[in-house]
Amino acid sequence: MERILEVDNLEISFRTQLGKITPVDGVSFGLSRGETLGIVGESGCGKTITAFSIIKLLPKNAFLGDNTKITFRGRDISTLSSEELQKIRGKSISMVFQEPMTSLNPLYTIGWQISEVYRLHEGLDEDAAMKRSIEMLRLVGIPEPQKRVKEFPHQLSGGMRQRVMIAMALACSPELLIADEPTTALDVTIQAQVLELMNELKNKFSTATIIITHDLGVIAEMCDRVLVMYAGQIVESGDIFDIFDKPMHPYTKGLINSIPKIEISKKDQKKLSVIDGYVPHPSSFPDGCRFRPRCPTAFEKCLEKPPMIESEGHHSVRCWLFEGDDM
Amino acid sequence: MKASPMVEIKNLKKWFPMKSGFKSKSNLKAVDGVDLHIYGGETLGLVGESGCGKTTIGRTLIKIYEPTDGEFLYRGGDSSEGGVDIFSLSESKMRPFRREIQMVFQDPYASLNPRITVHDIISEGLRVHSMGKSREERKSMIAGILEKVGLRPEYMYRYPHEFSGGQRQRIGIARSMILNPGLVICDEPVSALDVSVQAQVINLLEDLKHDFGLTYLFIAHDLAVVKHICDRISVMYLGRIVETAETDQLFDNPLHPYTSGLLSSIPVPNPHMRKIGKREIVKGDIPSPVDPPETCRFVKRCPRAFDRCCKESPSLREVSDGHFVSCFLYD
Ligand SMILES: Nc1ncnc2c1ncn2[C@@H]1O[C@H](COP(=O)(O)OP(=O)(O)O)[C@@H](O)[C@H]1O
Ligand SMILES: Nc1ncnc2c1ncn2[C@@H]1O[C@H](COP(=O)(O)OP(=O)(O)O)[C@@H](O)[C@H]1O
Ligand SMILES: [Mg+2]
Ligand SMILES: [Mg+2]
Repeated sequence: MERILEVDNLEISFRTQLGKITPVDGVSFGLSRGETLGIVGESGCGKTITAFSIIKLLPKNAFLGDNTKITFRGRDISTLSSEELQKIRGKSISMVFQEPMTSLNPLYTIGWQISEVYRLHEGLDEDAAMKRSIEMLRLVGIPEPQKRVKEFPHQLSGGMRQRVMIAMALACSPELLIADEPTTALDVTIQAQVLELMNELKNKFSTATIIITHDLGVIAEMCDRVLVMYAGQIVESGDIFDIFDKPMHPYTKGLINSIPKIEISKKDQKKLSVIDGYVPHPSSFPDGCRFRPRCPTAFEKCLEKPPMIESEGHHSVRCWLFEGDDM
Repeated sequence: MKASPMVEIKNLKKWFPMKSGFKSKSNLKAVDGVDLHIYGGETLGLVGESGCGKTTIGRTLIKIYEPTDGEFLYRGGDSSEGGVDIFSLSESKMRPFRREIQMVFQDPYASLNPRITVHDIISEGLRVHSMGKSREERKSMIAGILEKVGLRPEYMYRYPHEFSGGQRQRIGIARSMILNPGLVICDEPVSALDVSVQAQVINLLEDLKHDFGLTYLFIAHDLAVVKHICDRISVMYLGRIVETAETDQLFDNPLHPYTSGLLSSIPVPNPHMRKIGKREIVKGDIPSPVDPPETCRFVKRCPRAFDRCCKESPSLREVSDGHFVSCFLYD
């Protein structure tokens, strides 16, 4: 499949009152057309800023490392002018956020906001744009879309707003959709509706998708490949089945074992295993392996920074336990 | 299965009057005729989507809210054989139960007073209930409970902001547990926590239950957590209980269409068991609890609704041993 995104050596730093912090470094991954990539990890590990960096939406106090290179459809995004970027955002790359209220404008009707996408990016006139908007709302399962286009965001329920966000994000059939915790704020029945919708649309438009979440259930349902992030680094990456069937990194194993197993009956449930301690703040990442202080299998070598070690089938792990296993 | 329950809640209602300027008054019926029973020593799960009334039940049981109607029979602790209706007690008679029944709150950030130390947060309850003879004795009790919940005793002179979310939840748990309660209402105690911390707190709650012989009403919306921790589960929808059963029975043989839709909606963290594209979807949104019609509350979203469901409201009935459902399909 055609490669559309390449993130190479992503390093994100911030100027803060505490001085410079570097919450993300050495993150590399790529994405092909039609593929769904999951990024999983606990809060604070750098998922959102990784996503923001792809569309250059990082806050003003952020800067990227000298060796960072992000290529979208063969073009280095750092070389794009602001007009070119504007064009790419919303047309070629769209984003869906956790809280749709922050990304929908409360002062404009739903219809106006979606049609704007068509007017800006496809040059449609007002009537044609509104027609397409109504179609899109119908496609994402909004009942009575002719009526809904005249309403304001606050008049819709949370699930409905999230669907409007997805309608907007998909309005111009983007090549890349980045969904940051798209269902975290939703109830489980509404989450199921939104996930089904994203899956249908992906099958229809072959959109490449990045789903960011801390929910391993959402990852297992939706993704072809997974990146596990811990303290600003990818600690393991691989095919969805490899990650769940043969997790390698002690953090990945810890994550999988610490969630209650809904597929196992109550009488067979075992005490949950825990990962001791807490995720470190970027101002105090441990030297060497960043997971070392919490790792049940740490040894002397872990005082040195572990490299990413690739084993079979593009399954990679950042852990000294697998030194010499690489191919 | 067991003798008589330790807690029986009958026809509990909590309505919030709406301040509308004209016409007849509207009520937001957050809890509208709930029946629950909890056996001594068990964990009863209360699940349902946001806004269905779970927190309101908890708050009404500890009398933060005055109930609109209903009974709350309690046979634990020092009360007489037959049990007392807590809702009918005067404030002075109520006092021992304010200690006996404790609540652990969802939001570890909002539920602790940021201006006082952990010591003061925890000792407040001790003083109110005249526990511990001296300041010194209270201090050693606090040190003991902190250790029990996995925090260092010397942390008692710190303020809430110096702790992480998981640690704050432990402080909230310590504050309740030090009062030696019989029934603990845990309102989504792990929902705000990351998975690795969530597991730590779940294990802690299970250990405390075992060591102190507690009974839990465990409120949550994460069904995997509930399956792990609860012996029985009650499923709530828009102010009412739609189904109650033993945990495995509920998961293996859900009767109410809402329960089966809810279970089918959960994404399973196992790519071999993907349901995407195949699951039973609960269509539509959760309706408003303001003056709901006297029909089945789930009728608009129910794939199996028939005439009767739009005309009457079903009541909770025991259809097999310990399995209760509120649905005309089983009438
Ligand atoms: N504007 C900012 N200034 C300073 N630090 C920031 C800023 N935004 C994010 N960070 C830091 O970057 C880290 C990663 O944040 P984020 O990507 O939001 O994590 P995640 O999405 O995985 O929860 C956090 O530790 C956070 O403190
Ligand atoms: N103090 C209150 N005043 C008015 N309405 C309330 C109050 N507390 C809760 N409600 C309403 O009652 C319903 C049930 O809320 P809640 O018990 O918090 O649900 P849950 O805990 O299941 O999410 C909601 O519609 C909520 O808006
Ligand atoms: Mg985030
Ligand atoms: Mg609640």
